[in-house]
Amino acid sequence: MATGSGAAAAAADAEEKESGSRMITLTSNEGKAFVVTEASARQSATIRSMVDDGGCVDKGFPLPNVDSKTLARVIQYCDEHGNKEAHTVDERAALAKFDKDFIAELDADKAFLYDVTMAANYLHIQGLFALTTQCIADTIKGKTPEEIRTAFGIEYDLTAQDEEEIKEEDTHA
Amino acid sequence: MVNDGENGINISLVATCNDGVLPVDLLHDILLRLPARPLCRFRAVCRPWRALLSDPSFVAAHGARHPGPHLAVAVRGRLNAYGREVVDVHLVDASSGDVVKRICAGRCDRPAEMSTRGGRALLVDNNLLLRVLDPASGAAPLVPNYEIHPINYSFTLVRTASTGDYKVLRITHDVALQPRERQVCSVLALGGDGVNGDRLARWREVQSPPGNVKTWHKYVAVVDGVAYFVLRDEFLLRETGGGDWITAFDVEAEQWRPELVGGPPETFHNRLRVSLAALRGSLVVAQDDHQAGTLDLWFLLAGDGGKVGPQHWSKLYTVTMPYHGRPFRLDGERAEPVVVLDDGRIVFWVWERRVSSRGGVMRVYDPNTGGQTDVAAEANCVHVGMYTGSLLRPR
Repeated sequence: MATGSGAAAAAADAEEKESGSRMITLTSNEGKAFVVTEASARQSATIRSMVDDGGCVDKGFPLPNVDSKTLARVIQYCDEHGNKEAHTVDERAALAKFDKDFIAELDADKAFLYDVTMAANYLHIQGLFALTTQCIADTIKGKTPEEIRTAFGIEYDLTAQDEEEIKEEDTHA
Repeated sequence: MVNDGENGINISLVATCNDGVLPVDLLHDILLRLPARPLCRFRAVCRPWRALLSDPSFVAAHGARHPGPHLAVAVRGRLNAYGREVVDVHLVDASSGDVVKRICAGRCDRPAEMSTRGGRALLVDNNLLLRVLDPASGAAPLVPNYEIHPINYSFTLVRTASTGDYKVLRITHDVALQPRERQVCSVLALGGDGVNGDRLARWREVQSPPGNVKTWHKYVAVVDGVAYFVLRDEFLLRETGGGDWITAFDVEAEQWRPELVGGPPETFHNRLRVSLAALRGSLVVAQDDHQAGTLDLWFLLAGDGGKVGPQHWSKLYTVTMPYHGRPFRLDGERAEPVVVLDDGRIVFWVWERRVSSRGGVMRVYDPNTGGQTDVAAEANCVHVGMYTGSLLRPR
């Protein structure tokens, strides 16, 4: 979001505010339509570039890779970050609190967390993607290789030679 | 299926259990966020993870994401399975104090004489066998041509400014000198890999320093391929009267600079409490005023290449150190500046008050607020240096 002090930045801000009042329709892969503000939709770099390219704002955007449940949750994030200001310390603290609660809720359902992560990746929503990947990283940080295999359903496929190399590495590290 | 053609890595979906599905490009982003320690552990998860974690592009991306700076802290006191003491090198995040990786340096009889530069650490053993530790891989090969060194030598690892090759500077320990004995100096070129490439390394004797120098590490600093030493007092009293008390060895040219370096103005008669450091690419003299409880940091900011005198030094910081055990004692607590962080905070290692100069705390000082935070403590620490190598080992 532009927060510059120059005249150009101010003009960009004004333009953004104006365009932010438009409504945009996003359609999930189940055909369900979600109407959001443009400011909210612009959280997604994917949609932002389509809008800026003079794309089909009126017709809306079909999102064949995102289901309704995931899209609803992603929009919840975008609404908060797209429609609220983050200029003052208090506003930023409020957003940080929202992020914390948002991710805590997602963390309880890993499969859904992964779905939201993939959607954030697909839609290029940088803040959301950083939030969810960091959450997953924090979860796996303390796990043993065995626990990782269990958590992700990974098959053990290391050969005797690999095991030998790992043993060798372990004597160093 | 995700096929990363560039690296030849071919990994199918990595997670397909109750927890849902996590494609490999996401896994890549997630693992990049992790510190080096769990990543080293995760090499034992499965072959695709192993391949990803040692992929050069992943290692490079991880290095860019976790640029450090990092400290290399040598810690003694751990016993191996045979009850012999081994030394560990901890790579420590300089701002948080978190240990991001631990490397076993094996048996190392003189760990306090370790010398850390760039991405390598030189280990010195009792019989003066030298090994060069690569903390990224944990390998510590013997330095070739390790004919028994005459005892009582000290070693400084240096990186040349132009090629990034490593050289070892060997110089007689100053405390072992006989009256009127001159220090003997030799250089060993190690090559960019820290060992010796394909060449057979040989020690080459070079000229002696203009006057005998102190070899304790606090009196040595390396900046841009030049090693600076503090001259011994008897030379200074005889020759220079005290003003020019630093001498410089150009490691690339393998010779001592003819001109001595004049110290900062207030250090003319009081060098008992100074130490050398390399901060932000400058030579720094840290001058300890234990009575006031402060440490002055003088930066050498001259760039004209001419004779350096007192006018070229700037006292950029006066740090209030909450020392214990004042008044000043030579074996008392002392602070060693290690690195200036990007945000301007300065990282110190504060050695405990002990004769053996062992153990201490890592203290982060904020010059804007004067605030200090002790972020880590290590009772068995014997050496602290800067580490700029990578944290993961590429394939």
